[in-house]
Formats: sequence, C-alpha cells, structure tokens
Amino acid sequence: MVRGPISMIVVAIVMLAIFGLVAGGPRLFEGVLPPQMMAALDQVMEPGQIGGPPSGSGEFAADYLADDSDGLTARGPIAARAGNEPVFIDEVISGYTTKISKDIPSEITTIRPILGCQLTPPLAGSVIGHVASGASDVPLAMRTYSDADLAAEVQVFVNVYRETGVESPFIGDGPAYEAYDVAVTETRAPVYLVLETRYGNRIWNIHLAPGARIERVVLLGGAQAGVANLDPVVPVEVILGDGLAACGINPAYPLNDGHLFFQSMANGAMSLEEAEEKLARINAAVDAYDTWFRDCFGVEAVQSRVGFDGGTLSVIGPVPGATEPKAVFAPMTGAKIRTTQDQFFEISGQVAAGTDFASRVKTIATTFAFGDLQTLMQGVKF
Amino acid sequence: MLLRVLIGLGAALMLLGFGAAGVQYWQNRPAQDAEAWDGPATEVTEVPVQTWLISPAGGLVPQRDVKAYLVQDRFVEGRTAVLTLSALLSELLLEGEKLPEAAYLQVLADIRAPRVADKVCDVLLKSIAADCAVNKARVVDGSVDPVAGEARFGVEMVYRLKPSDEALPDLGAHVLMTDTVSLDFEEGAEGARIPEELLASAVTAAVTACDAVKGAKACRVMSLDTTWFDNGSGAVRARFGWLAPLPKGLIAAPPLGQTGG
Repeated sequence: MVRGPISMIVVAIVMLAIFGLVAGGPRLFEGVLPPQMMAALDQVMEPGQIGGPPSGSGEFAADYLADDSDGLTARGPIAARAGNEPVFIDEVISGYTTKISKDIPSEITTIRPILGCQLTPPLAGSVIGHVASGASDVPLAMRTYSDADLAAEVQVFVNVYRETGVESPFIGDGPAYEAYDVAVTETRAPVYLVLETRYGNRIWNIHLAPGARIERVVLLGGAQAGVANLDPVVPVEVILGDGLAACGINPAYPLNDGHLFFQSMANGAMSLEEAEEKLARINAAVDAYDTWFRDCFGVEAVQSRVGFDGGTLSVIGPVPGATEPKAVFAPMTGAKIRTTQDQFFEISGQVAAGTDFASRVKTIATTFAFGDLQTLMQGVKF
Repeated sequence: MLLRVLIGLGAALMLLGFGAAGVQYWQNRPAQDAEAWDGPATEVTEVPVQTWLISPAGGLVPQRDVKAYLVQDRFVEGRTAVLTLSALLSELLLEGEKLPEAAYLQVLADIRAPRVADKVCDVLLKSIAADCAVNKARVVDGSVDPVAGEARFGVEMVYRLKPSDEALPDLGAHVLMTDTVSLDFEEGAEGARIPEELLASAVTAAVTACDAVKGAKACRVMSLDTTWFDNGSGAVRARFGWLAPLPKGLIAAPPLGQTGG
C-alpha cells in the first residue's frame, strides 16, 4: 500500500526536475548541484547554441547551418555574415557568450516608436548594416507585457483551475525580451544599422570592433524593441510590427530551399497550380518590401540581409584577418539600454512583491472570481 | 532548442505514462475510498431496476438516452437544458463594481458566466424539474462586444424531473419512442422576450407535444436546447420520450451480462 504512493512521489520529483531544467534552464539548479555537474549542464544547454551534430566534419561553419522547414538555422557556434553566409563566432568576436539570462543592465531608457512611416535616410558614404533574424532563444532578465498578455494568461490559469481544481504552478513570467547580438567589424565608414525583428520582444546588443562607428540605428518590427550597449549620442528610430502594418509595410523574404513549401511541392502535397499561385504571392510581397527598403535605405532587403531564421549573432563588416581586431563582446550586465516598453515592465529580482506577472495573473483571476477561486469550479458530479 | 524540445517531449511522454499508471492506481483503490455522490435526492423517486430499453426497431437504446429517460433519482449527463443567450456585461458585476479594461472583458465574462444562469434554473423548477443545477456556463469565444457592453453565453443545466403519478409500465414489454419539437420565435414574438421566457416556452412545447402523443406512457422531457437573441427572437428544440407497447412480433431480450426487468 505504501510503495505505490512513494514511487509516485519519486516520479513526480524527477518529472518536476526535468521540466524545471527544460523550462528554466540549468541556472535553476545553481547552488543545488555541484559545480562539475553545473558545468556539464551548461555545456549542453547554452541558450541559442543548441543543435544536433554538424552536417559535415564540423570543420566549416556551413556544417552548422541547417536548411530545413524551420528556415536557415544556426545549429552551432556560427554567426551570419555578409551574403548571409555562416562564419564561426570566434573568428569575429572575442569573449562571446549567450549565458546572459541573469544579467542585469544598469540603465533603462524608454523610447517610443516614430510617428508616421518616414525614417531618416542614411548619409552619403555610410555603410548599411541590415540584420533580419528570427528567434535567438536567448531570453533576458527583462519582461514587458500588456493587459492583453495578462488577460490571456488569466484565461489559461482559469482553464487549468477548472480542469484540476488547484492553482497552476506554471504561470509564466510574462513575455521576456530576447537578446540578439550584432558584431560590427566595419571600420572604413560609419554604419547605419537596420535591425529587423520578426516577432516578440527584442534587445539588440551591439558589439563594436575598435574603430567601428554607428551613424544611426533603425529598429523595425517585433512587439517591442530596443538596443543595448550603444553610444547614447547615436540616434535610434523605431517602427514596431504594428506600426509597419499600419504603414502597409510587410517584411518578406524568399523561402529557403529546404522550406516546407518546397517539400510539399516535391512530395505532391500541394498541386503545381496551387504552388505557383502561392509562390507568385510570396514573390510579389518580397518585391514590394525590397522596393520600400531600397527607397528608405538605398539597398535591397534581400541582398543586404544578414541573419538566419534561427541564430544569435550577425556580423556587419568583414571577417577580421589574423592580425585585425575582432569585435569585443559587450556584456548585458551594467549595459545601458534604450527600448520601447509595453504597459508593464519588469526586471528579474527587482519587482515588488505581488506585482510580478504571475502575481498579477492570480490577483486578477481571484478578483474576477469574487475573491474565491473555488467559484471557478463548475460541473455536477454524475 | 532542439535538445530542449527532445527533453521536453521525453518528459511529457514519461508524464503521460506515469500519469496513466497513477490514474490506474487511484482507480484501483478499494471502493470505500471512492467519493460518494452527494447530489440532491430530496424527494422519493421511482428507481427502475432495469437499465436497458428497446428501441422501436428492436435494438438497444443507447445508454445515454436510457439514463436521460429512466434515471430520475439523480442528475445524468444526457438530460440537459442548454440555453445560449446574450447578456449585458454589467449584469456580471457586483454592486459598486466597474467593468475592467476591454482586454479583460472576455475572461471576466468567462469567469462570471454562471451569474447569467442564476435565474434560469427557476424556470425548470417552477415547471417540470424537482432539482436543477448549472453544469456549465461559459462565454462564447470572441463574442464580447466592448462597445455594446454585452456578450453571448452558453449555459448548460442538468435537472431531474418531478416524480410522476403515472407509474412506469413493464419496461421489458415496451419500447422507448423519442421525438423532437422545434419552434422558432420571430423578433419580439410572445414567448421569447427574455431568455427565461424562451426556456419556459421550450418546456411548454415539450409538455404539449407529450400530451399530444396518443397512447404515450410516461412521457418525459429528455433535453431542451434554446437559443435566445437580444432582439427578442429565438429558437427552441425539445426532445422527449415515452414508452409504447412492443410491436407485434418483437421480443425483448436483455443484453448479455445484464439482469433485471
């Protein structure tokens, strides 16, 4: 009689540990596990650097670039460089790490998106550095969210309570900012950076090589966007995702060769007519975006893009030779950040008790339930 | 990322496996641990021993229908009164409360949906039901209109019928007949001015239809489905069942493994 419940409790503890590892990462066990085990966990679970084995010997950076239904994805220590070609990270930047989820910046300045759709054009002679990337999976210790995010989480909380009769222990922390690194090795001319987020909240962390200068930074897309480690005198202009939509601008790029679309064409899941029609629509969107981009910045979006659909770092400028200086990693700890924010903004560890995302969710649910979550329970016992 | 997905998938599979084992463990506990049903049983209601019924075609009636018709000493899943209606969000508030920001209206309406069902059971209790309870009340997804300040709600009640003076005949010698009556109410029509009135109309329609069936024995309302719109229009659909003598040549045989009757 006793063995059954005990083994279930043991299984539950193991399951919780595994889920904790997956959801919170190895840092969750800091101080619990010995340093050797922490180091081993860190090695296999470095954010944004996780992937299967290289496609080749691993000698070339291209061996770590996957071209599949997820798009072009960095599956190892590679960055995107000019021509959207892969390069090993340690060839372009020194001191690089993605273990920054606990790093706390020193200064946060709120910026606002521009009014309208007209961006300041680059000066003559500037180099355009255009980074467009998908997810980096490198969360920061900063979150920003709106009433809509809270309401959606309250609904999830209520649904779980109705199903289980207990409060969900898995209320999220709210939408975190994700970091993406930009190493600037271009030193011949000032660089006009156009940094394009596909979705979510994004902080672009700028790492300069000695002698590199930034003329202006334009942040396009995403829910909220900001920039870290940028000289405070450099102007930043922002059009977020909803702003782009309001301006009739739809960022679009050609599909990669391994995209699901082409797989569906090859295996007959999609008829040729249907495929041609969809492809024509995609191409029209790509052309339209290219035109807008050229009008704004003097270069085409597709040609100038540096950044994969999954990855953590893009390099603007040449790959430094053996004697040339690399970009220097600028840590997020103590960084100055300029960013747009949603209604609520949090930095981990600096939130007053009861005002964090999870507490707000629970408070709202309880208030709506007349102060008693038990009233959420419905259903007659048959 | 891939590694996290793989570990997550593995953990989820383990959870599923051990979860199933856990459920089996709890289910296999001795019977005395099981939670007793504590539903209402305030009035003495005839509880037939037979747990099966024959359809007019000679087959077995689905258990859901058998229970909805026969089992009147407790609530059963198949005997429901469903009401879909529009209601003002302000009806969900306590005195002195204000509506929250627009983003929260959907989840507020969902949490407080049972409030729109408060008066609905009264309709059934005043007519055909001995007991009534709200089984489920939800806001219809995406139905919140922040400008008009209203939303659509779906309310499901379960009920048990008042004991009848008419005793059940020999169940083994009868078949269960069922039928449905449907009514549509135009905007502003009598009988659909408010949701409760529409539900009452559904009950009346079902009872009237029962009375109209010649030779029907123990006619019972098995389910009600009503849809009400705030312009005073609506639709009702009531299902009822009764017992009729076995057709000639048809012999009732209990299903294997079952006794009684």
